[in-house]
Amino acid sequence: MKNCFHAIAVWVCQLLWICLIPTAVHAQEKKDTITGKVHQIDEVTVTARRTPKSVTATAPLQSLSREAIKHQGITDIADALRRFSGVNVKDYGGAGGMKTVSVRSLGAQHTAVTYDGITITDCQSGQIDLSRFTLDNLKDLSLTIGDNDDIFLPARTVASAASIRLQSLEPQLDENPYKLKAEIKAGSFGMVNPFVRYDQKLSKQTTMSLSGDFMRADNRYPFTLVNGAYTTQEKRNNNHIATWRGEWDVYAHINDRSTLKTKLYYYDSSRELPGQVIVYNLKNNEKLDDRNFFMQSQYRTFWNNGLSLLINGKFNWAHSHYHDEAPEYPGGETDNIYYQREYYTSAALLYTPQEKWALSYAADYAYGNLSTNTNSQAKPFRHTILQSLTARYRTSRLSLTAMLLGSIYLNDTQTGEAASDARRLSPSVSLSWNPFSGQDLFIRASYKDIFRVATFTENYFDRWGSRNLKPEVARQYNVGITYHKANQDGSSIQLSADGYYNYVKNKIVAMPYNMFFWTMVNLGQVDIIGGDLTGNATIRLSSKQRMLATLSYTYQKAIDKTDAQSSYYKDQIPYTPEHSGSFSLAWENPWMNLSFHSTGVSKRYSSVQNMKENELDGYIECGIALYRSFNWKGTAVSFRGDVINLFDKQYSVVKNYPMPGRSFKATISVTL
Amino acid sequence: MRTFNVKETFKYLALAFIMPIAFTSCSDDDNETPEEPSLAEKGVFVFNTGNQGSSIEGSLSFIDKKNDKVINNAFKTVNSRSLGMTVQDGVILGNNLYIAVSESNTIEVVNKNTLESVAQIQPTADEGSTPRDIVTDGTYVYVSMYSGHVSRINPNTNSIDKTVAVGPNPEEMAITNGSLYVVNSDGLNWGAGYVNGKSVSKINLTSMTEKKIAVGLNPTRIGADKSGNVLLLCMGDYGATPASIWKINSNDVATDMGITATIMSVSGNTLYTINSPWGASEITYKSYNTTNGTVISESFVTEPVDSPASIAINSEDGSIFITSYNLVGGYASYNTPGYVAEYTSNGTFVKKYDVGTGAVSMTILK
Repeated sequence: MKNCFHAIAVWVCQLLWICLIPTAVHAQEKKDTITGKVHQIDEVTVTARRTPKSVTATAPLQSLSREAIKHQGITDIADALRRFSGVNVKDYGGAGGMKTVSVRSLGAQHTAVTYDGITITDCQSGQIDLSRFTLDNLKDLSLTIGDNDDIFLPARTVASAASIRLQSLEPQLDENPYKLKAEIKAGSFGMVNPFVRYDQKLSKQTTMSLSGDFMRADNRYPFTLVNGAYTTQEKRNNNHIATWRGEWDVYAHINDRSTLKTKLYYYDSSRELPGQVIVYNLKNNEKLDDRNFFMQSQYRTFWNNGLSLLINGKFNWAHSHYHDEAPEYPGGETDNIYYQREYYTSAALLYTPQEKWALSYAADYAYGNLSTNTNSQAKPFRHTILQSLTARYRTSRLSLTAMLLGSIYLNDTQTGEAASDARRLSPSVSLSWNPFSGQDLFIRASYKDIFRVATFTENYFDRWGSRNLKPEVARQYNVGITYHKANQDGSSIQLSADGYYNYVKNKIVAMPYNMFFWTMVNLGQVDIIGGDLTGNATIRLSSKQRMLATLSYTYQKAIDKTDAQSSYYKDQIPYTPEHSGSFSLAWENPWMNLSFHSTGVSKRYSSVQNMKENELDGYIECGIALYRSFNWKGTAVSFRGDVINLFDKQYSVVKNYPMPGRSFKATISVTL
Repeated sequence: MRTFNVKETFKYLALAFIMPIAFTSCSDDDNETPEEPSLAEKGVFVFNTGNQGSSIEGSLSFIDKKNDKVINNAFKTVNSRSLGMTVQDGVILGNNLYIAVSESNTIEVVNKNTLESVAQIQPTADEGSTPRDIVTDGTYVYVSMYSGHVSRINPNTNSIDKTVAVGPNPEEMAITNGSLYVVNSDGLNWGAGYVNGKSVSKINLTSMTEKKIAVGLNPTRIGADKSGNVLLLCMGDYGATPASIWKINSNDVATDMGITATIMSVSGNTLYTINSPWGASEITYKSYNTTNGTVISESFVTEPVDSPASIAINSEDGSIFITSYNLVGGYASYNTPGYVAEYTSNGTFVKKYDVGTGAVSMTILK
């Protein structure tokens, strides 16, 4: 029976891949019949409006373009995400070190990450380490909190409380049939990162891009160890990293209505883990090797009858190997090896019978399994069936969206007892209203009821796992106001303010049985009240000079409501600052562009109880970036220099994981 | 359309600069004046592991029976530095208290009355690592190392002068009749059913030679009675094989006493046991005669604690101390401070003392 399910899953996947080809050919044949009439699909509608999407969106949407990444002095993906409001990035320090993202205090496992429209998953831990993505290949990245009026999406994209969406840069070939870009980054603590990208036109409709990068760093950065009244200067040990990354993208613009995109991705990293700084014992031998391969395809088309179709398919394979050496282990070492595979398909249909109405239906199916060398007596697998039905009503002044997501998670295992299944209906509604005609002022409100199922680790590992876990529920309410104004001269201002109330119940938490045994239980409730402010402004100083400023601020009161008798009842949950924010200011000019930026958080607690011993100081970190692009004998040359942590502030995001002090980075790229 | 007001915008920008300054937290350097260290004269030292997973360092608490109060964070208050990560156990020899700190890999030697640090022993690789349990025979101090060693500390030099290989993963020790008994749990080899453990290493303290005695599955705790019997707790596999108390007689023969318990302590000829398996609705507190295994009391305390972790008996007056976690939602809370409950020798509840996080063992200061 189990094998049968697997076989069906594989077959469905294969079928989908095969189906894509004839559909593409078929669509191409119809090319000649296309009239000049422009059909309004989602993307076209949005780009046709002058108002940025983040202003009209029915739920909070923040995005960073390639340009913005430059003028805000953003150095890596974690740095990009912490510029967003409502975001908590957990950073263990160092280039390539683990980075996870929690949005509005809901926890990292409630944040989905999509790459070119398809969700990236990890059935083992349920959270994505964002350090594995590079900014080099991105066109933009955005963060959606809840669901907004962008409704033509796979069901899995809306199955999380928040989603980070990464969009690859498509080849931009003008007159030349090819383009070659070579870049090298070098920085403090032995960081070297060469990157090569080759774009080529394969035919009239088809382009491809091939890119690869290698990154290595020693990350042996100094830090100040404070032990009571004593301070010593130490160096982070066992922190070397080497990663290889390759991507191959093929874009087929089959005709005016249809596109087919395929991506092959490979990532390989070996890193040493420096571990917690433990007083009197700074030695550590832990290592973690990760490998990930995926192949994904996306086909998109529309017809004259108001129907659009979006088909996605993906195969994902990941391997992780944790290794530690110590005389305490049997044989002096320990190895935890995990392999996971996932097959995923999705079909979404959008129907726009008339201008004001849009309906969409998406059905997703995924099959994932996990195998391991650890003694858990389980080789678990899971069928995920998600369906979403969405309706949107939109006039020039009002946008109203309602969605119902139906989720079925079926768990089974090749040996031993299987975890319980989950079935739920999750509603979500959102609206945006423009009260004054001719003014880009919008009022928005949204509600989303969502959940996450237990990860395989929670269900099966950490010794026994807990088979009967219920889903962890997250409910979000948001109200906000957005404003935008642009002048003819290119100056503009954009502001948003949102207030929210969230709560998490049946929170999955680890409960120790004793020193070695952990079990997971649905215990825990968190109430979250917060506010987000964002603003950005562009001021044209002269024809060739402008100032760009951004600001974000977040207030979060996220309190534990688990047990009224407990010592931490109504205490702020760990690693959640009440105040956090960022700002950047850039001066763009013909000589040398300059950006100054800063992020800061107020004090946090490293554990559940808000006592002095658990307090982590707040901090402000600043940086500067200098950048310039110019043409040199027909070659486009870009230069960028960064000073990160300009004032050499000693701080930690996670307790006992010190962050690097002042560091430098230089980037040179040439494009042929 | 209204023109864009540059002045207005700059005002906002200025605000943007000022905003982040609001996040600077005040430095707390001003309240660092340490309290006058209270001298420990009579009472109970409580060893708090902390919780490494929650980045909570270990600490030392002292229940001051003379002034009827508890001093928490006693080591750090006196020495202005951390005791270390995962404080496990302590023992008194002469004027000093020896404290085993496993994750920091140190044995901290402090004056038992002033708590001022006398020495910090950092074992070399050959001397073992991850100090776990610490005992004394009145002449030397012995520390079991989770790496598979028992190391001897010379109190005159406060350094390790002998190391014996035991294990794997030794835990508690007991000394009787010139021999040290240490349980070999093989605790990190649970995946293979603790197969290389199931033994007690008996070390002759004169010759420092070791021999193994076969016992039950996963032994973790051990104690010696007044008559020279050694009693130990085999925790089993937390599944099919339940926890059970074993006894080693003077001929080094080990037998299962058939007593189910998860915590034990031996004082005189009395075995104190607590049985609180995971998820059990009731916790039992039974005491037994160590020589014949008969029940002395079906419940040696009148009021149970929430989630017991260890027992200590004051051999002078028979008073009983039990460390406990607090409960959150019915589960033991490992990342918040726990407490110690005190009882008279007949089990009458006396007082509750709030101590540090992860209070796992105690030593009586007489």
